[in-house]
Amino acid sequence: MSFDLTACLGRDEDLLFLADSTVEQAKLLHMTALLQNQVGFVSESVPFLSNLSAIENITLGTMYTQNISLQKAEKRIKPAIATLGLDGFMHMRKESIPQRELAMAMFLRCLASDNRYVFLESPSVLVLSTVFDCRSRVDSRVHFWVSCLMPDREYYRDFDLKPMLPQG
Amino acid sequence: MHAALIGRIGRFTLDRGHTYIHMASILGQVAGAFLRLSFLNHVVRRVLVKQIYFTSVEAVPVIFGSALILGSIMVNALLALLTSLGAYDQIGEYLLKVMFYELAPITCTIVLLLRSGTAIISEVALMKINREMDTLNILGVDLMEYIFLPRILAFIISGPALAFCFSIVGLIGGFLTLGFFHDITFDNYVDQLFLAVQERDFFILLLKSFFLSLAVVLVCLQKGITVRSSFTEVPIKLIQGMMHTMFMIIFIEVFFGIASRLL
Repeated sequence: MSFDLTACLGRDEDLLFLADSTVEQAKLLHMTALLQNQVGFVSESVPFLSNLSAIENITLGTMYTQNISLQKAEKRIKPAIATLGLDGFMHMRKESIPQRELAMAMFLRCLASDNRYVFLESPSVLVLSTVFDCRSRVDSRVHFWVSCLMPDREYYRDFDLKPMLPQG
Repeated sequence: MHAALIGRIGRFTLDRGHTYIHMASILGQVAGAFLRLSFLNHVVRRVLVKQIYFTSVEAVPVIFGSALILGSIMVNALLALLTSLGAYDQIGEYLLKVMFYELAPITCTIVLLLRSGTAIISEVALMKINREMDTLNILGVDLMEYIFLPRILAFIISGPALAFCFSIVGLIGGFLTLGFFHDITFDNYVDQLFLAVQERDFFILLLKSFFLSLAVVLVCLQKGITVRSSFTEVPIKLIQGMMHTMFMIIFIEVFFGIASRLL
């Protein structure tokens, strides 16, 4: 039993992956991690680095893969930071950032890395509503892939997510 | 009884062998990253600058302090001995040999181990336990380039640089603190040092410090990265790292001792 992620890659809609077990959910996370460039993460499983500030974490992937300076990478994401009102948090470490703002910063990391999809592993309703709000405020075209256990699907009924079941 | 003993020796040898192979593998991969000029990447360069700052610049007060104290003791003891024997022409040679060949490289390596080596073990181990390495993988950042290369470069640059500073501060400062009690003037003392010093002395100082620093950083990185998933492993790896590094320091000391005799 597993999810067909390659079929999901072309879909322009938000998806809800319903896993039967935590093992299957972990497997889904690992499979998604293999799609490095296309999928970004707003998840505790892919945390910010504790010795870097928020802005360094957000731009790390871009700086490394494109070999550009922090100033240049920051300039690209600056409008989105300003729109979300996160300027005051950019030089803080992750320990000092509240949960909601941390979720927003992780969403910005996905935007900075040009990810088409954002994966969230069993997010709280607060985190999910925060990233939905962020997407509309910055007018982004990314889509959300949310994974949860089958019994938890009710938590997400207020969000427009297309349910996906494992195949095989 | 014998079988159990042989088994334990075999287990010890395999464990140690595995550690050295792993260290050699890290070194090989980092050398590859170095040859690809990965240190020119903006991200890697930022980490390298930070690491050099933490390893060398922040260690300067400790190095200067210990150079003054140990230099004073050494200069005082050797001057007392050599002047009492009337061996004025040997002063420069003895002081330089003790300082360049033994005191400076070993003291700086121990300072590096205690300050930065322990920091590397805990930092790398915590990065692994907190899944920060998964983040790096997902962002497409090469661990060898981001974690290993800057730390190894910082150590092999800082070790020889600090040992050189230690030697100068120890020799000059050592005389200025306690040297005036002896029957030799500062001018004469400096002349003796200049007459005795050879290029070979600097070469050995830098080379020995280089290898000692490389051994420290490789052991610390290897210990840090082999933590699995529990915080309780960190202090165990720290102790293992300390012991292993001390063993490596002794080995390099013996190697250089024999090599300097043969050459």
